[in-house]
Amino acid sequence: MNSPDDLVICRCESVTLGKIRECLKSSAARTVNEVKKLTRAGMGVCQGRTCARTVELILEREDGTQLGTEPYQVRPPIRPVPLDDLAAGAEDFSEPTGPVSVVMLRKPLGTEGCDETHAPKNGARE
Amino acid sequence: MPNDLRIKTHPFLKSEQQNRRWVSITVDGRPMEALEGESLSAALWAEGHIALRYDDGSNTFRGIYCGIGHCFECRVTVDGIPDVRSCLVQVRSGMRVSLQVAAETDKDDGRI
Amino acid sequence: MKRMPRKTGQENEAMKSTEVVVVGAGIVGASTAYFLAKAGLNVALIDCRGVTGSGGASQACAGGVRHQGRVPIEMPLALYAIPFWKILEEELETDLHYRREGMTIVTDEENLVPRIEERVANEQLLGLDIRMVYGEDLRRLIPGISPRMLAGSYCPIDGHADPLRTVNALVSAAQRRGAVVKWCCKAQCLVKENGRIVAVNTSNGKIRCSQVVLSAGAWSRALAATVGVTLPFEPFTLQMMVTRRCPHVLGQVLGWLGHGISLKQVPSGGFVIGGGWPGHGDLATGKTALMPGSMAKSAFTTIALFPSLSKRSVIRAWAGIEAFSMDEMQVTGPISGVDGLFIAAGFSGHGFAIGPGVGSLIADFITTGRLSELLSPFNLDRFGSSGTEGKRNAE
Repeated sequence: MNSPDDLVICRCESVTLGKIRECLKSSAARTVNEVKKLTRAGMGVCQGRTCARTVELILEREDGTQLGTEPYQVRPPIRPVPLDDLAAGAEDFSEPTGPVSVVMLRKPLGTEGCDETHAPKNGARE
Repeated sequence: MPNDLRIKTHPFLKSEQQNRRWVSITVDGRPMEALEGESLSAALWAEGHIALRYDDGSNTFRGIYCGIGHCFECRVTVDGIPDVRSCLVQVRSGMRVSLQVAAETDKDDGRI
Repeated sequence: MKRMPRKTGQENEAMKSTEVVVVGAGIVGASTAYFLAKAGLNVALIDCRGVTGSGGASQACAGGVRHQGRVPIEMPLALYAIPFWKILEEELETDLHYRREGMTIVTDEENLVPRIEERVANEQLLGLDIRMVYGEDLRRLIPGISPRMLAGSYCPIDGHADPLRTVNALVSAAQRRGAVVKWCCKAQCLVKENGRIVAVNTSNGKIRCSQVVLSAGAWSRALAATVGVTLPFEPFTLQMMVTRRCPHVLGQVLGWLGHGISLKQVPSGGFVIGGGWPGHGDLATGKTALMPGSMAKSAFTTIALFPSLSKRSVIRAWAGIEAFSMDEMQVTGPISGVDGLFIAAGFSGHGFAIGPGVGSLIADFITTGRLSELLSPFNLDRFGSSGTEGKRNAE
């Protein structure tokens, strides 16, 4: 691949091929999700629709990472949603009742929490 | 309008095109003619508005890229609502469009 | 098709021993590893996830760097730790998008104004530069804030930074100083002999060490239990949202007493919306899922606080698992009976701002043996045997 380093790969965040190559050279990033976190490619308004596949191809050609090694992680909303549209249904949701706060909710920790002297069977709850 | 790159005859869209009428919209405060119902990005392109916004990150002008509502490159403000994908919006009479490109060019109508 | 060489000594380097193992590469672990490496110690920073981690608290962090609204007993630590941010960018040679343009916590309820006034008075006594702002002055201070807000506590030296950039920068800087960073290296149990730490068993083999800093957030509890230490933590998954880039209209961080919101506009233009809204999380896998009700209620609160955002679009929401302790304050300190173990977890959603400072204090302790007074209120001993002692948050 002889593309010049200033070719823009992620149009939304203006991430160039050079920046992605630099990321592969200088970090342990090897998947499209890791490259996203270190370069911001895929974090813009189209959320990787345009560039994710291209980044995967770059990883394959420049680094040998096989296509499909790790699926590109998509986060909701699947397209931009105005805040007032999101807010419109707020009252209809019975959960959650409010923000998280252990003390404010006066929620006691499980009774096994403070008395354990050995590893619990499956780690902490949730 | 002659030479505006609009497709005037089309085997499937013939009837739609024939029924379209010219309407007036405003772009950055200036009046512009467009065909009612056509894609706003096509109308803008036909009038020379190829650059639709300015991207600070790359210091480049951006316009239509995918044309199918996928890439968000063609976003403009329509009737006060920002970030509208112009390729998905159909022209309606009286529509107010802002491009935020004029300030970045030395042409006072924002055309490139 | 040249294959780039792999870095950071991952698979092929069997790390057998080091001086300090720091478990967990979030804000606290990465900071600690950096300051330890800077002090010249051999340190291994391990994290069970891939590069930059995922699913933890630093991932779902609103990025606030604030002094106000903390538990009073934490103020001295905050006054020490937060100034680190002023030099951090230069020290780490990276732009962290740190801004210090103030934070204001407001209320729209008359009867809550005295409560904020009281907190402000207490915080002033503790040495914080903070004052009340009312009515028109509030609206002038923060153009765009809802006109129904009556008053707020304004601290001009509060601010915000980018958590992802910060953790990445700390990890990179630690590596430049000689720290070994091992991703996808899951600590499975701590090993002690004769009352002292001798090793950490990991998915990549045993690492012998004389010190362990346990900064693995919600995952610390299970690890501490492997040497008989009980951390009274419970995992909660917190959600965040971000809008697309908008013209800059907000320089301060905003909070609203009694409502779940932390609102800020980051340098790249998006509005980052936090507030402690819950999501779904699975501690075993670190996978999170979003709770739509949290998105809706968080959006509702945002518009009520800053109405001009109503048409701005959320482009992404995400979540991470945080460890909340029984009194919502962190546990930092050595553990009697397990020499060489230092716990630094349970920051209950407020570890980011003080993370770098805490990391520096932990490094000081490990290199000198002296524990700073700033950390002593957060020793595990405070839970005693009944575990009922607790301190409410300031708000």
